[in-house]
Amino acid sequence: MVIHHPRTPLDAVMLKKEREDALYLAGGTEDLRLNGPMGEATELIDINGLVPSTIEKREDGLIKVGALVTLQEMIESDLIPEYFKTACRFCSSFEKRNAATIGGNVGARRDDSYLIAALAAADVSFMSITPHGEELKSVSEYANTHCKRLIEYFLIDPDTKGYVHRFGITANTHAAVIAARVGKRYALSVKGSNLVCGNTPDIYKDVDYKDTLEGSAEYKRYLASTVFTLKEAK
Amino acid sequence: MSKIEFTLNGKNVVYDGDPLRRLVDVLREGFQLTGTKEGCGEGECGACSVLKNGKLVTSCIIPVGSVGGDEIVTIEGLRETEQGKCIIDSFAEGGAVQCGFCIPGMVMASQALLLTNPHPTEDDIRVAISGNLCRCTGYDLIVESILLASRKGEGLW
Repeated sequence: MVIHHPRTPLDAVMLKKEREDALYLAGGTEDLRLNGPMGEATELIDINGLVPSTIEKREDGLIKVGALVTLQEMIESDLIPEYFKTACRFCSSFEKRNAATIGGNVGARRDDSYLIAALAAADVSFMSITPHGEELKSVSEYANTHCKRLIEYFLIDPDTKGYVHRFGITANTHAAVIAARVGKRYALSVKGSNLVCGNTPDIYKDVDYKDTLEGSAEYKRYLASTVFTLKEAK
Repeated sequence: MSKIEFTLNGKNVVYDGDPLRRLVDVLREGFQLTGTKEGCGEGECGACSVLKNGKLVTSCIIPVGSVGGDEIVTIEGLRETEQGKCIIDSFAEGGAVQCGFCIPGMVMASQALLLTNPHPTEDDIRVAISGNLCRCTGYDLIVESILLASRKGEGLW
């Protein structure tokens, strides 16, 4: 196992492009998370210090959240909407939230990602670095691809309102279903399936449900089909 | 293999090996710092908690490659300080320890809290140790012992 320390974000992206099995390394919690993306990785690319680690309000009113901001820093910030803080708390360990980064959680593109459903429902985009330069990319598009771009920072609208709900056997087990609604947009992360987004609660019909350790396909379909209507009936 | 330099309990150290090796394994097997315990191995129980640049993290889910240039403090380093001695004495005085397996992590969580909040409320303490599981005590005596440490250690933090 080799660890590379590139000097610029572009160097990091070029290293990743040349090395199919390499992983970006920041907090590292996603790399070592159970069933994490470690796989056949033989090389690491250290991105600490290369991408932002702060939360700032921009002149256009959007909140710029650096990819290396930790989940606990998101919770403690006054600038972050409450439903994102709820999503950050899905990572139930305080210690883990102190090391896990927003960039790492999104970059791993897990089907039980703590944050992706909330970010996708809020139609959040992030600035990324590609071999061709900087490019804005939406989280919902990125979640279902395998592109190797480096996430630089996220742009979050602080005035959005919504909710996010998680179903798992315990707080410490992987989620079976995470559902989010922000404004009029819905998103569903279902274990074993692709992320699905849309403008009606019927998006549950678009999910290709699979039996996994977290629950049967039928169980997850039931959860996904009822969560929005039950949540909004309250 | 890669060389990773970091500060461990105030001393500069170099680890030469797999950067994806878990920090807890490097501490326990590489540096013989066995006060840091492994419980769940998934970052959920807090038994392996250490301070990374003053923040509480679970060393079982931190790859050693991500601590290059960082300052790591374990229970062995903390117990040599006045702050650490105060917390440990308070845990003993308050009867906070039963089997003891979670206690190194609890002491580290207490230190992380008191560093930022020297006069915590009971609620502050319960949040601060929320990532540390104890299967023996029911937590009340641990919470009371941390309150005791904050009173006895007035001025230390």
